[in-house]
Amino acid sequence: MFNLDKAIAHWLKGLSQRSGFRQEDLEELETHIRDYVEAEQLAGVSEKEAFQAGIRRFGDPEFVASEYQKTAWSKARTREGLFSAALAELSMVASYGQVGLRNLFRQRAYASINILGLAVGLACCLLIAMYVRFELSFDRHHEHADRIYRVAREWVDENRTPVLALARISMPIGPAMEKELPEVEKAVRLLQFDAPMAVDDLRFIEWDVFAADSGFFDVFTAPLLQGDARTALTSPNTVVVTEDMSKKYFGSADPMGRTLLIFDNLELTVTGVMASQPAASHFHPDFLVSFRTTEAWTSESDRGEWGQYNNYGTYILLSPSADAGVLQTKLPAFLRSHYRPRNNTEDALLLQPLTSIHLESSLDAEFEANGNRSYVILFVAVGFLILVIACFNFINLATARSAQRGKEVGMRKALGASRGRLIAQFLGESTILTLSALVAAIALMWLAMPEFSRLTGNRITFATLGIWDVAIGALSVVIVVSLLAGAYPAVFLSRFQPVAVLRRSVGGSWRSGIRSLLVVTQFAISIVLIIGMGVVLRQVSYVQNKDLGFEKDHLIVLPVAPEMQTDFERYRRQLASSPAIESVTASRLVPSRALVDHVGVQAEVNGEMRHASLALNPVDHDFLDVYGMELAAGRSFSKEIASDSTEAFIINEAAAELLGWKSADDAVDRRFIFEASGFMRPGSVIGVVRDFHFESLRNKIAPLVLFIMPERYSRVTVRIAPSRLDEAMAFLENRWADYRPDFPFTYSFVDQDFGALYEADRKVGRLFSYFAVIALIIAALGLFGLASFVADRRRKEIGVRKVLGASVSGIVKMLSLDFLRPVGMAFVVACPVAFLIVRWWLDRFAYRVDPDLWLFALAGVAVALVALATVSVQSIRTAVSDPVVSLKYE
Amino acid sequence: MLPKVLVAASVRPIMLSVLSEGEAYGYAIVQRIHNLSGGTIQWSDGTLYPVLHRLESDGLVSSSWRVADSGRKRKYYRLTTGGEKALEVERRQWLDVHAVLAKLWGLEPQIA
Repeated sequence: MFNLDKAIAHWLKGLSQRSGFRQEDLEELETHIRDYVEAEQLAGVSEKEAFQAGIRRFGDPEFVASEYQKTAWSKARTREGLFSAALAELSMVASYGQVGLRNLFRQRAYASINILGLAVGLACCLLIAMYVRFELSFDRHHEHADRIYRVAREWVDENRTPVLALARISMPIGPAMEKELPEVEKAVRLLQFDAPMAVDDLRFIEWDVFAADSGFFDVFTAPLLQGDARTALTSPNTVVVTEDMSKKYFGSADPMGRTLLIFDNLELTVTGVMASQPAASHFHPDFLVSFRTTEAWTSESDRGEWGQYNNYGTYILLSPSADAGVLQTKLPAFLRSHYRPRNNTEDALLLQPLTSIHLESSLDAEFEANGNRSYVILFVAVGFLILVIACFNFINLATARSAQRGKEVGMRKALGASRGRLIAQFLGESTILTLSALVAAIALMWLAMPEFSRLTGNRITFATLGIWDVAIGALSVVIVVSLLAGAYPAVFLSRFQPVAVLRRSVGGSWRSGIRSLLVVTQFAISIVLIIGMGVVLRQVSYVQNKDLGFEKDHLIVLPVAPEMQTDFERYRRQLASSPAIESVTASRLVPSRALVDHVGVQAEVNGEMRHASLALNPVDHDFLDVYGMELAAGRSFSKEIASDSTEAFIINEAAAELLGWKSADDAVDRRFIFEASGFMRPGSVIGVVRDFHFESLRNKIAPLVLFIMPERYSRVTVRIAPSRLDEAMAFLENRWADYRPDFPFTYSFVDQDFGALYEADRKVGRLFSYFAVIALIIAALGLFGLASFVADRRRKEIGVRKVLGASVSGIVKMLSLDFLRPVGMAFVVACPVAFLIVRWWLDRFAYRVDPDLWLFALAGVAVALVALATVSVQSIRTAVSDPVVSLKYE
Repeated sequence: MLPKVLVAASVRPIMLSVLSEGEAYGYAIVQRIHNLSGGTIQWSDGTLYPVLHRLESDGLVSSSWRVADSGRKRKYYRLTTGGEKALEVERRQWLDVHAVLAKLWGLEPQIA
């Protein structure tokens, strides 16, 4: 039997579970339904039917509830107080969330495409953000970072063209600045060197030993865990070690007052233990030896030398009131009052803000390889573009669905929903999507972290991020993306006029303007990134494979011990006795290293003596032969001619051109005088070597002079028989042990050393490729979603076409071509943009590939193929579907 | 049946007009409109109440709970002075629209 009271109670209970109804409202509605049933019963309708009709006329509870909610705020003003209104608002937000979730669940494919695309995009962005944040944080941990400047030195020739710029300067400059310039509160010199360190039986070669002035701790922030910062570096023969080094040499014992043996002959007393510099620092000393220790090793004249021996990284702390610009203008006069260059180059001191060194300074003789601002900008752009592509997917799919959503919007509007409410609802949906994407993105980041960490030099890990960074970063990304991706659909959909939507469907066809504009943009970005990727990879392979002007394979480089220097010829013959070794030579520098030393020379050109500054490299007689370098004119050094050791010079073609000889032949046998400080070697040019790449391909081949000077050799180069590497290595190691049994055998391969020069470029190229491919995948994902949607909408049309005799292939073609048009447009837009970007990047290399047209075409075709493949899957599925089914559908 | 948009636009003047006839409760208002329109104007009964509540919060209508003779508790709504003024404005606007349409459709002799 029907029980009205029970039925009403049940109905009210259903309503009360929705938000928006207050108790008072429910009472009013109960009266309403009872009045209705009563009236109907009087007209002869049964109680049960009357109740059911009343419920029907009452309307959809969910919709009515939302209408009630809308009045909640205005009620607050008049009656109930803000608290309950806020509660109502909160429950409404929850209900939007609920509606949003339900919508997403109903549209699983749509939601997963969006979430996946956004997640990948977000993961890329967050990784890039970590990288950028790390790069920007360099040297900012120093308390006085904004007052610390490094003093660099630059030389220009008579045409004002820079010849050389060094990150280190001569020994007396720093202290003189502190004494004579009131702006300089403190100056600290850092001398970096490698040295054997030993405690009892523990002995290692250490690469990051720094001699530092006692003011080090006043200028830089390097907390001392033990010892007194004021006195730690004041006395000779003292050393401050990092915590890691303390553990390495002294284990858990207290290192204070213990001694470290340096160079196997000098005892240093440990006067302090400091914290290591963080990863984001442009230098990382393991040991700070007091500067006064090293002063004992240098002669009086060296200590007063202002022009040469630019070995000292010099940092100044400006007084708080001083202005770096003003100080810079005083530097030329300051330098000239102490020193006047002897040849016709001019030099100048430059102030570099400490915090800009990592990204902006790439001078010679930097302590460590620095970063590069243009890469940071490049990655910011790439991250932003990937996010844009992902957001566009969202916008496109949301507006494409507007035909369906439009009806919903129309209903809500007709029944009084305000536009603000609708916008809030759509933004709510985009926030839910973004939040889900963020969760997925963090998982993806976690997966990508090892590879990313490796590519960025193992310096960026989750551990380098604080919890607040993560929280703030993630939150801001969610807000930005929700707004970016949700705003357009929200505004677009909420604008619908109810009458229009309810009468006919809106949302238009595939061609609808904005949507195709976004797709064009997405693919344009993808094409630009792919072209960029192609050029970067080609350039990296070019610099690694270019003919360097000598045979770089099968060359091993070893250090020279002093014992070998004194009688190099004997050592050379010993090594050459092995059948596994083809030839042996020695030199000061070996190719792949920077040509740091420059020297003034005079040369006889057209009967007069001309001055120039050339890079120099002392070499042994066999240098050209061992390296397989070719002569353009003249002859190589010969052991038969005794004077070759004292007065013969070989220059490269660049030097011959710089000095002004018309041809290489013209230079041979001309007078040539070499002038170092307090040292002069007159002689003549015996040969001109064809230009070869000594340094990285970023640099133009520098004018260079080679000459014989055994006391300056520091490296031995050995050419080994190609198939006898192991034999040669064993032999070399044994011979080495004969000379220095206590010293570890170290070596490197010239081809690998050259490869290492482009390590950063290779890593950037690799990262860039990943991001370009990811961008394309996200764009393709969006296209896939759009294609499914369009195919779905055109089901009936296609059914009719098939019934009328259209072929499957014809339909696939029709559907696919529609999508290829935007890819074509994207290509036209992308090419000039890509060209400009690529040329900007290539400009940093003195030797580079051309951005070939075929590369552009290839990128276009590749992207078109990906788009086609994506769309075809959908098109074919739609095209082969049974027309009976699709026509019956509805 | 009236299109929704027209329902949405007319619900306010109709509601105000019904209340201008005197104090009334929810079901009575629904019935009154139903009878007047002969069923051409229909809406979900449930949405009537939010409209009344909004009129109330706009100060055009006031409400009070009373117990009827039958013992049933009902919420009665009545027009406030503000409501009367609002109705007057609405009335003029709708008559303007009506006049234009009437002229166009020749339902009224044109005034030369």
